[in-house]
Amino acid sequence: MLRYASKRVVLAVLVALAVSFAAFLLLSVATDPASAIAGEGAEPEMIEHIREQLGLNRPLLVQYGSWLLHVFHGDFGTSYYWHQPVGTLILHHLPVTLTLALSAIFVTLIVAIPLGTIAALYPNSLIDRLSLGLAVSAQAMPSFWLALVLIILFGVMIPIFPISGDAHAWNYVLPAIVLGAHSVPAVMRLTRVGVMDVMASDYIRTARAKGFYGYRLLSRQVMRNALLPVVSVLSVQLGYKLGGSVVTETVFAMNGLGRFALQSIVGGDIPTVQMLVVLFAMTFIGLTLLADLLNAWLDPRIRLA
Amino acid sequence: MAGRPLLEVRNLCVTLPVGARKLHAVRNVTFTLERGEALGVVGESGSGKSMTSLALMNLLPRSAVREADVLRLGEHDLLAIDKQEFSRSLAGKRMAMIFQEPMTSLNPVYTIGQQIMEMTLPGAARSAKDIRDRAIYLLERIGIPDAAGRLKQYPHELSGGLRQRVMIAMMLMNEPDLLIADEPTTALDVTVQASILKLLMELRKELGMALILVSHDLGVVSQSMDKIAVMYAGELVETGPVSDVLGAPQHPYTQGLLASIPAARDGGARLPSIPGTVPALFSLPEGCVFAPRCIHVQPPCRVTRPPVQSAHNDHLYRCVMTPDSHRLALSHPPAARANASRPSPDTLLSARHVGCTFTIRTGLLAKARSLVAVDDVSLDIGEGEIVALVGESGSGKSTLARILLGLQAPDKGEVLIAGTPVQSVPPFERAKLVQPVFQDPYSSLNPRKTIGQSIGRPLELHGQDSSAEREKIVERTMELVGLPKRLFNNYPSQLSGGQRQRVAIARAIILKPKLLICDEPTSALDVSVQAQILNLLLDLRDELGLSYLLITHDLAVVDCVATRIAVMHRGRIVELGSKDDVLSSPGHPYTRTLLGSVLKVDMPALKARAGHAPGLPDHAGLLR
Amino acid sequence: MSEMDLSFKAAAASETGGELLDAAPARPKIWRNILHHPGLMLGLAILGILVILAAFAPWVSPYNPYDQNLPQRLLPPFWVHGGDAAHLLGTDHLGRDYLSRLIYGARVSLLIGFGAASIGCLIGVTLGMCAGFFGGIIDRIVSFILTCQLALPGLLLAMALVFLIGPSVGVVICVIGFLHWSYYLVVTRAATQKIRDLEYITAARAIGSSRLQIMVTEILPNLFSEIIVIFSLEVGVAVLAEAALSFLGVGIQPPTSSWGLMIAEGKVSVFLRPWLVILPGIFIFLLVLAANLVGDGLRDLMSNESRR
Repeated sequence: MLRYASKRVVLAVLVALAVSFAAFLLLSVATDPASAIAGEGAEPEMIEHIREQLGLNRPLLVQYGSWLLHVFHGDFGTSYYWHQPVGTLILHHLPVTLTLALSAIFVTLIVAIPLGTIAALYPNSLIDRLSLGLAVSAQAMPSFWLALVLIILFGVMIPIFPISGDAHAWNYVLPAIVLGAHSVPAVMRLTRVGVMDVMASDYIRTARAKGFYGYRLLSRQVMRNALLPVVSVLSVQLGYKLGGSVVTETVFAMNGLGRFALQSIVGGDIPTVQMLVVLFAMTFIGLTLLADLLNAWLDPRIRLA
Repeated sequence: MAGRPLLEVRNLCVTLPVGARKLHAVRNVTFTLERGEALGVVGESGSGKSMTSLALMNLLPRSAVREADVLRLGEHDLLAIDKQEFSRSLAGKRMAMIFQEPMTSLNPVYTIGQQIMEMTLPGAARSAKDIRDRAIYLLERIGIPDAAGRLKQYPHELSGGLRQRVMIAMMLMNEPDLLIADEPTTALDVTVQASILKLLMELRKELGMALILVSHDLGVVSQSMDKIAVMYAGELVETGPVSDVLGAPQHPYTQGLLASIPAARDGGARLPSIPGTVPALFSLPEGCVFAPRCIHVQPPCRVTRPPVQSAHNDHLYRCVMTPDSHRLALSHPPAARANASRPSPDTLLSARHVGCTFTIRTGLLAKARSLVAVDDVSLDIGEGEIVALVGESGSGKSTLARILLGLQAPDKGEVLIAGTPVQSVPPFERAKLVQPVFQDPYSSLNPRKTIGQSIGRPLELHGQDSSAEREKIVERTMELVGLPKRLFNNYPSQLSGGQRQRVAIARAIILKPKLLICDEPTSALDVSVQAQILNLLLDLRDELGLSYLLITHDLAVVDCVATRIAVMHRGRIVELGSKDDVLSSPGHPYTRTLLGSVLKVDMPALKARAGHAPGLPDHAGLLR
Repeated sequence: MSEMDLSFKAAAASETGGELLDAAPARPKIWRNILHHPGLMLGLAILGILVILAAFAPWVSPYNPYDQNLPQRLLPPFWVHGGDAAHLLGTDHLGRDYLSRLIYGARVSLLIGFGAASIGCLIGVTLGMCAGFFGGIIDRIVSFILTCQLALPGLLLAMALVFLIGPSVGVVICVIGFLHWSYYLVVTRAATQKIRDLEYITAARAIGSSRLQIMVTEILPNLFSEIIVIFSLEVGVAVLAEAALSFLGVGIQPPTSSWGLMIAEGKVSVFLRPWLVILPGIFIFLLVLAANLVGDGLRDLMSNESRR
């Protein structure tokens, strides 16, 4: 198990390096921040001067190396736009996004897993068809549209939930539903397929021959096997939520990282965007690593290899 | 012992909805079983034997419908009892079942110990310590050393044979009255098979347990059972004491089955075989279900279902023919060709000191292990010969086959074909010299290509003929292998296993190679179809002058068609010689073990014990 | 020996192994299967309608979507009080006919959806087949690339790239396409690995096929059905991605009518004029729903067919 874990960690580090370099490359090539800062109609010398100041005239690899070095020392750069250290800005916006993401996962769990399990146990029944229909519809809805519809419903028609801001816990209900709704279909299907596959497996047939039946069969023999893949998917989903919360936060006017990212992009704030991309990637990598390790620990076939 | 039989089954019927149609998988199966008796249920694929055992254990798929007049175990009426009660009081307690696939039949996330000990319900009379002690006792009894330590192991840490033993121990925890074993050894190697069966028989005697053994292998059933039930297409066609049914079979199907088991032939004579294939039963046939394939068929057979007749006491069969009135129900093979090809001294393929080692690396940073697949193998195949390469799984025979085909380069040694190293022969030339035929008729054909396309692809690739000429050649080849021309535009999914194997053979011979390397060509086929394919291979040898390297684990097949035998074990050839020499006086201990493990139908002994019909002539060539 | 009076009749004909019972049906008719699958039919129908609308937009839409008509701005749909039958679905904040903008929006969405899905298909399938077929170091490299691609925050990067390079339909298609090939790769790689070990591939090598020939003529045809399924689903994904980008202002720019953009433009008055937001959303929903229904329906058909 230890060998497996160390292998995964090394891989994660390599991926992190590759990803940060790729992001760096893409962003540097896509734009020229010097001219953006200088403004329109600025003279070439001015632009060149700014470029020198920011160190943008060095070869890309050197720029990347220097950036990497700074990151290791905890210096995440300074925002062109906000004129503050990027690190501080990120820390400021992080809690909102984190809370939102976790609540969204919670919503997904309590909806998707029971629905998926029931759908698998009674295939082609009304519940199965309804939940599949729900899944297909939820998958087709743009999240911002769902958000706006919810705002109309609950903000105007039946005002129970607040529809903007992030001050109280209640503020998170609607956004969590919107964000969570997006992964309900996938998790539900995964659960359904997982449970169906396990129910059809040889060892469940053996369990039945041993006298297991009904709820006891489900809880003791089926679920542990069926939910193994779901566990890893949930971690990945959490990663997606962190990176994909921009729309939800924008619509509900919450001060999270997503909205902050949008503002930085529109403002041409390359260092911030760069750092955010890398941060989200690292979080994702970390979460998948966690998922892998969790999966390995839960599945004796991997744990004891 | 007086009293009612332990298990009574009368008119058991199982129907399965498949799409819009209904499949009558089991029809009117009737039999009884006394306490401690062993019943072998025999049949080929599609016979309904597995469905019958699942029906007894209430393990049928949810959509299946089970009906019977009587279904009784002891005092329990299995028809009346509801599923929950059955699971609570009978399943795993009074009746138990072990399955065919030990590799997937154990829950991967629980230890062996947990799975064995959970057989006993919480709240039962035993204490936890008692349960554990019993588990350890059973594990040791079934031949697993260090039982206490093993309890903590997970299924994936055990081999297939061990897992099956664990299954047996598990199911015996509650000392059931009846154990049903559905092909328990089919997925295991021959040597392991023998020991598992021996174990089952011993345990049966010890516990006084009744046993139902479902198998397609007549050899297995003939050695150890008391009674036998032969099933065909969902029906029970013959039942009775083993010696009676196998020594003096009455039903044409049983007779045909016995006769088509591969065994020694003289001078390349052909195996008798049952024509046609097992039907899928979507509609209840009028008349006898075997009529379309029966040589003795008469007009009444197609109209009304034959009655059950008794040949002698308990020996029952469903046919219109009176006992012992008919002979072999087979297609008589044409007399052996007078000038059957004799192996000529020319060597076609020569392997010299071939070695192949694999490096296995389990991950990006794991250490590499080396596995010696083939170790110093030297083998010659002459023109017109049929060399059999015998070995169990893991012996390296498939790797050797790929090397001989030129698809893999050996690490050591060389392979010469027609004098030139096979690696340096250009692929197109090599293709015209040696071709493969594989084991699995389901994966040897591209599902997206029609039969015609698959067979014709070699010609197309070599670009030699026009498309119209190609079609003609393909049709001629199809005729040669016995495929009806109308199948030209069909897809593999529409053909049976035997037909697919014929397509594979057609594809292999269309370039007119000199040597065919057949890797277990009949192992995945039913016994009756197996005989057809073996006959085809022999015919092709005579007509096209082919030579064969026949890789198989089935010694009966070897006995039937081979001229020379090479025995392979752990990558080495441990014995090489003419067929008669090797089979009658094997030199190497492994060969002896292999020969000893094979379970054959011992016809003379059975005949001697048969209760009647002393005058029945021997089926030609079945003497062992 | 005369007692062994056996009939030869069955021998000659029936040794052929021809099916005597249960004649195999001709190749199952795919079309009949499609007709029996309601989800698939519905999806194809919706898709068909949208494609026709988009293709014939200049003839079908009542007005030019760029024509501004300020005095007539913000009219509601005809069923709401104040509506005008001349503008069936009302007008937007610049007086442009909403129905026309919606119809032209179909063009944008379909173009981007199919375009991005195609780019993703090309990249993903090629990489997946190579990784699955060759294995070894190539597989490891491709898997590494895949892990990196999955780690990148897609939406964020797409936003950044489109905005910084310059928002246009072409750029949007390319960016979305280049960020959405992972699903193709995973499925293609797994399928290729399974097929690679099957015996008909070995047989193809034995008759002298080259590796490239094997990949294209033996393996690829077996992947078609899975690729089509993923393609339909990815069209939906691409449409949603574009809608999100345009909604946030970093995708399609005005005055081009994109459904996402229309929702953004209508957001300011969502409480007073909810239809500005609801109508384009319904269209997006229908398009993506159709794509998903088609994809899922095809997948159902495939799994039914593969059951022997």
